[in-house]
Amino acid sequence: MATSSVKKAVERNSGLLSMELRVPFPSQQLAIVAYGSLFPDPEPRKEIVKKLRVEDKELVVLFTAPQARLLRVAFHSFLDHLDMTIQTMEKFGPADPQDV
Amino acid sequence: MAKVKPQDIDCVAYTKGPGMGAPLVSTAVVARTVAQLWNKPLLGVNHCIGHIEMGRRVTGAVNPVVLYVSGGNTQVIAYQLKKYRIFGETIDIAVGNCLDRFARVLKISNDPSPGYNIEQMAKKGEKLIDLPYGVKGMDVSFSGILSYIEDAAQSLLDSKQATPEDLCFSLQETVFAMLVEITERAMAHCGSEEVLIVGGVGCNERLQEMMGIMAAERGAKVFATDERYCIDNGAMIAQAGWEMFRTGHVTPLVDSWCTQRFRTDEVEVTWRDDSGEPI
Repeated sequence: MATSSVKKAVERNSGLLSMELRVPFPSQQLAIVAYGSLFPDPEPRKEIVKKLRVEDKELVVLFTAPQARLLRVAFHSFLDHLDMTIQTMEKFGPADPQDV
Repeated sequence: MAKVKPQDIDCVAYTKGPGMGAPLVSTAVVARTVAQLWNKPLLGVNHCIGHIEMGRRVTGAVNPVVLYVSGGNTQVIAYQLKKYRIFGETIDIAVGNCLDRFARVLKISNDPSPGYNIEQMAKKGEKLIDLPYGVKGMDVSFSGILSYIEDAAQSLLDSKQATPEDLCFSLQETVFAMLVEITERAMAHCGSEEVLIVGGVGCNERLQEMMGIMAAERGAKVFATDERYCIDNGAMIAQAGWEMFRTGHVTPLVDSWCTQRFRTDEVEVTWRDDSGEPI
């Protein structure tokens, strides 16, 4: 049944929940810039693990936490920082994003 | 505005710490993005050192004992062998925090700032109320005087033993005397003839006056700035960042994380030599 297979999946993952976000960028260079801006700060809460990587033109973020509300908090905060990164790129980046 | 182009910029400086986590990270994220977009080196600056370097730049003080006083920090600092060493500090809350919380007890307005309004009211105070004096060796403590005055304020006001102006006056005189004492102790230690006051509480003219009296007695001079430079500002971070950059510092991205705790003496002061002269 759906609920017991979800429960088993969660148990196999040692009780942790995870969430992946993929953010497309106009170029791989810009995805790498976003990575550079967003990876250095550790998560304030030790129970939340954030892992970033670049795949082609996408920034990929994986969050892992023991509770859904922690995933929500981490995700919310990440989106704020991502938004600032993108706004900065729009304001200070080259006219054509493919130029980066 | 400044009509400066990316090509004119040499490096990007931002505040690494100390301070509150979320605001620090938001500026760091933008700084890292700009630095990468324009391919410029990044400098993670210590906020306290920003205040010191702006104070030195604006006032021309050569090798002062620094009193750094704000809502978040209270330190007495002196340069020695490549470090800004902390000679004395608060063991609990910052003096600005003490003043701000006292303002809340008396419901003093936050416009333009509680500290400014306490200063204006203190000028009209006449009675010096006896308050606990918290100097502990080279350090100071403000939580005792704060809890005392928080408890006693209402009854002193109700019994007409003091006006709100008297309380402002008494609190200022007491906490500022404490700061002057630990500054003097550091000056005696270092044989210094200069005092530089930085940080938001440094705008306070009574503090500057009291420090001036102590300094004059020692044949020393007080350097202070106005509210354009005392209060937290971006230019001070740029000033310290520039000193760091021109003498070889760079902050790689992997080390650019922000931190709520960042001691003033953790930074290698590459821009001054062993005797304190500029490099």
